[in-house]
Amino acid sequence: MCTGNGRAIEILLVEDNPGDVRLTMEALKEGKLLNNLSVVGDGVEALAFLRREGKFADSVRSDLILLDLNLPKRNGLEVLADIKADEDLRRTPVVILTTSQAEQDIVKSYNLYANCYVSKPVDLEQFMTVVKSIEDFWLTIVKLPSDGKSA
Amino acid sequence: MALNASLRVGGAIRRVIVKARAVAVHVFFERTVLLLTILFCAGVGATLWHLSRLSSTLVESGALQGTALYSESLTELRTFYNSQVVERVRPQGVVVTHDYATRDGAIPIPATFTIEFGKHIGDKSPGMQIRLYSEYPFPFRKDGGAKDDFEREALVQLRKQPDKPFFRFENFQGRPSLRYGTAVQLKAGCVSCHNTHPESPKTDWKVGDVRGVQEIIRPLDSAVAQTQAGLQGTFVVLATMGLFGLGGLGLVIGRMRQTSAELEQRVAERTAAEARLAALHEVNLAATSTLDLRAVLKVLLEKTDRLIPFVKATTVRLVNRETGDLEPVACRNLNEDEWKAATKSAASEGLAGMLRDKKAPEMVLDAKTDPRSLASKFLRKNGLVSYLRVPLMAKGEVLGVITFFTKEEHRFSNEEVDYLTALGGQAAIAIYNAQLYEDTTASKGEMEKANSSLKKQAVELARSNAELEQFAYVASHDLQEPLRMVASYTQLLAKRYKGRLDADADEFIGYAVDGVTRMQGLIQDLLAYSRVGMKAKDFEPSDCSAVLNQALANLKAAIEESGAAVTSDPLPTVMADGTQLGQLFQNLIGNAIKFRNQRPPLIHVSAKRDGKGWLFSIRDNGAGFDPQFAERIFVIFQRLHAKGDYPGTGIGLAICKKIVERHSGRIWAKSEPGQGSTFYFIIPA
Repeated sequence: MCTGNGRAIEILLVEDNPGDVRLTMEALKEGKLLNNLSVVGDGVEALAFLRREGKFADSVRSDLILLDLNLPKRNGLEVLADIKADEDLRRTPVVILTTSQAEQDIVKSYNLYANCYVSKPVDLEQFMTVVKSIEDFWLTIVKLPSDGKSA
Repeated sequence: MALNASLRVGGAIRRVIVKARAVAVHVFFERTVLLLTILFCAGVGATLWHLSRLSSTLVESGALQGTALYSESLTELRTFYNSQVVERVRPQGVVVTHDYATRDGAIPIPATFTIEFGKHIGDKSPGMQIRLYSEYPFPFRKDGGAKDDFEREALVQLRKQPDKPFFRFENFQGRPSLRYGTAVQLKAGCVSCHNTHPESPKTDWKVGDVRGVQEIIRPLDSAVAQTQAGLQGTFVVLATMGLFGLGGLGLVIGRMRQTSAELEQRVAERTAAEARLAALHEVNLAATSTLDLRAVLKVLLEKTDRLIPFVKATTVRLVNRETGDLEPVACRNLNEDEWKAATKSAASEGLAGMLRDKKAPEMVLDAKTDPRSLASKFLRKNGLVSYLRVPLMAKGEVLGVITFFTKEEHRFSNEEVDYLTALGGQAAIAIYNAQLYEDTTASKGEMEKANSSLKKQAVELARSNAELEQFAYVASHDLQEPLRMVASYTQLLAKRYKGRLDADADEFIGYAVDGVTRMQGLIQDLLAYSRVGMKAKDFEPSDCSAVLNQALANLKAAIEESGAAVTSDPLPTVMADGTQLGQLFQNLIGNAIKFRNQRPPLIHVSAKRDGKGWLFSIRDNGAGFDPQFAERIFVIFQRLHAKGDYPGTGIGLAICKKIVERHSGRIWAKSEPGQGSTFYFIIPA
């Protein structure tokens, strides 16, 4: 499966826990869409990747960002703030995918214009369902700007 | 030297004057009546003497005046007789002679006339005599010459000064008399006759010559007697008056002396009483000004020493409140160490008992020999003779004994005993207060200590509670991540490899998944439980009806699935954390639905006022439970049922309990198996 222009969906997963990375990858594998999952392990790398800086100069543009909050170097909320402050990046949907259920984190995330906030379910099946639902919702149901560029 | 001597003399004189004045003052004040008597007698004597002098002067001058008048009248009478009778009848041949009585038709010569007249008067007034005499008496006159000293002197004097009468008061014939002589001077009518008379001893008389002396002798004894009688009367009157006066004065002075003495005594008594009262007051003030026992005793002894001069030493012994022994505590004017040693060696236990029984002051006149006195050697050494022992009584209890010593034998008067007893009473009150204060201070200190340790414990408990909650929260939260990994991958393993490995592997994986799932449940519950403390909000007025509705909304699925009917009375608004209150309702109603019978659940929520709070009850018609577990069901992870019958970890009621307790309330339950249950909780209004 691919987007309208035939290319695979580009998803950036910002997650430092390899277990979660793998689980997410497994879940996406079972998904309907053809997707390319890129993974970075901390906040600094995440921004470099998105801005195609340094070693990520050749990176592709992401269609969806799955952002964990608990990250080394630069935490998820900081990364979120940077993305939403960046004119090029701000329209890319950012899904906060975290184990935190803290009200504080939820409120702060939405205040920083997170597109949605999802708690990682403890149960594997539910986790799978959630990840597939995210993919389904953001990449097939929702209409997004075609090129991701500002008008 | 002379100056020194004069100074010495001056000093001596001054001393004598001072001494004399002192004596005079002493006599005047001490022997007033005697002094007044002497003065009065002297006064009466002087008066009488003066009166006597005055009266004799009066008598004399009266006699003198009368006699002078008489003498003059006599002279005038003779002159008149001579000029008017003798000279007129002589030319007619009438014989004028001294012996006219024996011759017919004769008349007396003037001198004879005077003598006869005098005799006549003398007969009328006894003692009165008239004499005529001269250096040249007629021979026929037998007593015509001077007969005594007065008459001779009178003749001489009157010849020299014929105009001045010559008189003298003297005894005449044994009677006090006035002898008054005047010169008889010859007048013109007399001279011829005297010069021609055949028997005239002298014939060259001239007019104005002093022929002789006419003397009037006037006895004064009757006048003197009268005067003396008067004086005697006066004396009697004066003496009587004086005696009465002195008697009265004596009485008055005596009375005044007595009154004054009484007054003085009363003033002295009053002054002494006032001084004692003032001293008592001072002791009281001083003793009650502090609550420190040492200070109270010190002040007490100091004041006693200063205010009661005859007391030379004072000791205080107090009953030890633990052992009941009488122990030496403080003394004044004695060597404290020696005294304590001496008192301790004496059997003071017996004294304590004795005092308790007696409760009255005890006087010992001679401490050295009296068997009652302890430590007599010590007393002898310090020269203490008599003493008064006063028990220190407060609230009917003997606190100890205070002893007042004197250094001379002293019999304490009733007044002194009363006074020292009063002093002891005041001291006892001050001591009692100080002891009470010591006790309360001590127990207060202990209480404060206990309080502060309790506070510390409470703080410590709160801290450890908070730490535990933090720990539980962090542990359950942080445990979640690795657990999720374990769970996820065991599940993934189960999913991907079920049936692809052998049967054992499938079974093992199954247990791993089951265990991990249960652990996840427990950790979730633990997290929820610890969140009750961690995620608390401030209390605010919460409408329980709205809270209940929210809980029912959350339970919508369970209610619909079970067909439960939940009813409620009107519910109050209480001060609470609304979210937790909602969780409380939700858990309790959820339980009621969960532990149901076969029939559809009927659940009723009500609330009523209970004292200072609201009593809520949630009644169901469910399975109920054995009342013996009524307490246990609130303990975390306690379950009454097998997992197969009812799912759950057993956290719900523990959370309910924690929520209610956080609201300072209480939760409990009543039930019988098969009869349904009622859960109660109280939330303060």
